[in-house]
Amino acid sequence: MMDDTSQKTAGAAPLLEARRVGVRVRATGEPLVADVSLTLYRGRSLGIVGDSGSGKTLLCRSLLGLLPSSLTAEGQVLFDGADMLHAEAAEARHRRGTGLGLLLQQAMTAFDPLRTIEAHFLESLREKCGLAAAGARRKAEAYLNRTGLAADVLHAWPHQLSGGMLQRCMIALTLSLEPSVIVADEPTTAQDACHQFRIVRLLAGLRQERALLIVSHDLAVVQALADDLLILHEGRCVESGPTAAVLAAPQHACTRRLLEARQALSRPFLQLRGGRA
Amino acid sequence: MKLRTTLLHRLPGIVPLLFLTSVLSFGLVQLSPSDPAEVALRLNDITPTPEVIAETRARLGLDQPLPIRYFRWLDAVLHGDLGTSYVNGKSVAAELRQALPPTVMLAATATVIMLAGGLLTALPGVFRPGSRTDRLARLFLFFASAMPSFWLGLLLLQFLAVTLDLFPIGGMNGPASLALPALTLALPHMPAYARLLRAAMLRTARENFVLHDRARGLSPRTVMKHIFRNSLQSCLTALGMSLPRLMAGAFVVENIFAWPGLGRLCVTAIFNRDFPVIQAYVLLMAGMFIVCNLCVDICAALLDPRQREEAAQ
Amino acid sequence: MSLRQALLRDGLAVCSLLFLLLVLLAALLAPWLAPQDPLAPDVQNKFAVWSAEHWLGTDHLGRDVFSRLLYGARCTLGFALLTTVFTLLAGILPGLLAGVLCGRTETLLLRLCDILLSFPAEVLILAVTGMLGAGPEKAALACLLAKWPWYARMMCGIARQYADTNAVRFARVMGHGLPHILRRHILPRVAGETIVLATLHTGSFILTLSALSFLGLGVQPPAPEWGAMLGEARNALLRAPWLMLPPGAAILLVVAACNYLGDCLHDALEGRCGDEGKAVFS
Repeated sequence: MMDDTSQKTAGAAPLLEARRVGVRVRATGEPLVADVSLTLYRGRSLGIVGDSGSGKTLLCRSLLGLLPSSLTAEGQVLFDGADMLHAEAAEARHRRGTGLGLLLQQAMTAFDPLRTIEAHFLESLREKCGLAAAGARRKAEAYLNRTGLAADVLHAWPHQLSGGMLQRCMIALTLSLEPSVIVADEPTTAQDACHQFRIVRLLAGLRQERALLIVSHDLAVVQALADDLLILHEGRCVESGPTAAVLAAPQHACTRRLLEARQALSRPFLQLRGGRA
Repeated sequence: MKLRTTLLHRLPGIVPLLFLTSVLSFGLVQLSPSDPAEVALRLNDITPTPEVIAETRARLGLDQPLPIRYFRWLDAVLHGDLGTSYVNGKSVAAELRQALPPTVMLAATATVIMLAGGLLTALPGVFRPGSRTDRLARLFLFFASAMPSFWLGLLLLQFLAVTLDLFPIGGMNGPASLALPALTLALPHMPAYARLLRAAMLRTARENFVLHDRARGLSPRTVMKHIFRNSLQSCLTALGMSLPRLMAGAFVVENIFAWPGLGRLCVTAIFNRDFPVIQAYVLLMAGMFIVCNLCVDICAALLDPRQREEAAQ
Repeated sequence: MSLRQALLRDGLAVCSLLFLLLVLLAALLAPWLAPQDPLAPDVQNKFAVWSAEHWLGTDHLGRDVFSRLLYGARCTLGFALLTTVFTLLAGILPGLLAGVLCGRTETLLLRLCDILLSFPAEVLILAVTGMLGAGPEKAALACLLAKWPWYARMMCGIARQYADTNAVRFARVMGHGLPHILRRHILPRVAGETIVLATLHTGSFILTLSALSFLGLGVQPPAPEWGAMLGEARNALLRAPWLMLPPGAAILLVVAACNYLGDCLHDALEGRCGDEGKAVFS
């Protein structure tokens, strides 16, 4: 599918490969996502763009094998020698967290309200990495520092932190498990501009050591982060290729519409800037 | 310090409620169509001539106007004097004190059975909805909800105590005698709690943090632990109130198994038209309900980090 | 009539309905169906096991258990149904009025209901029977007093919802009085909910009332009420344990049928509302 990418990194095996992935409603058979294929190599990042309802979140969840029970998945998601969609539950579970990390859309509700942030870290690091409390705490502090948070966040309850702080906690928690692929589902929505910038910078830094799959409806974020682009429209992949190429010469009406919408939104700001300068 | 602020928030609310309860239980006797003085005389086999009735009324303080009688009664109650039984002349407070522990014991055991059973029957509906175990649990709960507790008690009595001779037939002697009444008391209440727990667990399982747990690849046991704690938290009040609820509902079971508890005391008093005992029972139960409600709320607030914060502010 | 269709789709619900109708019919036709007089003692023939003459045997006074069961259906169901109807009336009327009138009446009623509902029904029932003494009408009154606030609160909520509709506002503007609004606009709409509530709760009323009769606080002994029959069977437990089977099983089955039917109606009504909601929003 992505010929340029595969040529560029020819020889290296892909980290994550999705082949003709589809998602259907179990009861009615209605397709929500159909026939999406993608490949992700180490050190590269892929952006998935589409308007709301285009199946971005479902695609993310199916990559980890975490679809709700009312939906069924078809196709293959190959990661670390296993098909995440059809492997045994335990086998897929072992690859989640330490192999495939997922950043959820709503950070506000992503933490158990009855446990402190520290409890989340300690439990995850003990179960997934076999770390004892002291080691886990050191690691948690290190990763929190990387996201710009102080170590005393560990003793806070989720309800005491703001959405932006929780988002960074979630990133720190996901990173502390050292996954080789990070799937980030709308990491910048519900964030103010300052936080958005910080998160984008953080994620950009990650790209070097891991592979990043970033989902967004915000073209600017994707433009800053993704090497390649995949446009999703009504559950189907309508366009894909290197980011610069896709954005310079959009082929599909949907891509053009997304670009126009972005320009229309930023025009007033540009005008303002122009007027002041 | 946090506890004190919680108390300060909640205490003013229960004072009018307690006052109302006292008025209600005092008023119930006044509303009764039969004259307490006459009943008291009849029970002691004295022919109620007008003179004797007048004398008894004066002795019982019934000739005073209502508000005065109420405050006298309230004053006595606050000093722990709940009056004397018309039937045997004993102090009602002493009788209640004697009957309270058996009822608490029975209701506590039944609560444990009910929660354990409710949980066990709720779990298949969460993990494997539609499976054979789930259908079996639903069938069981369906019949448990339609089961008359008095029939269940008689059946258990007949088959487990008389025919198989596994348990004592009635009365209170030893832990074995507790089993059948507690089971009879627990079973009809089980369906409501099973439904509550199942709904709470299904709701929690759909929460975002559970997805996050699973996305980190945590083991199903750990994820279940989180779901479980959060769902218990959300129905903590209902769970905490099950003890007083079962205490109030124990009167039928106590009668079947000759359990020397509050319910049996009250039903016997109803037959004897022994008003002071009935009045004291109502007052005790209603008061206990209010106090239990307060305690459960405080416990819930202390266990929930979000509420703990609110209460402290 | 999607309610009826939803009901007919469920085989068990149809069975429950047929069973209840059968029991009601048996209760109505008891004088013609019963092989013996339910009250006639036959001391020579007491504790008889089942036979062609006495289908379910005889009790401690030699009375025919089957005939007593048939007449008992009359007594038990009639008693429970009457109590349900009166409790519904006692709850629905103030509830509807408060819901339509809103304002202070509503607050007052809701506060009163909250206070009454904060105590367990059992305590209120025991308190009222305690003060009034034993007897069927007193037991029914106790039940009514303990349960009406629940219905009142529920109906208040429902009426509140309908009182906000344009039809009712228009009727008010047109100068129609409260009785007209209640009769023409509110009552027809709450009828469905009321029927469901009644079905759903007849079972629990049967349980409560027969428990009181069982203890001797409700229907008094010679009358063949199922709970009272169980109370008598209990006294003969060691001599003839089988006597407790017919009345107990009868209560269990009738209550189970009521519950199932009520649940079904409830689901159907909810589902119907859900569909309507969807149609509005799509």
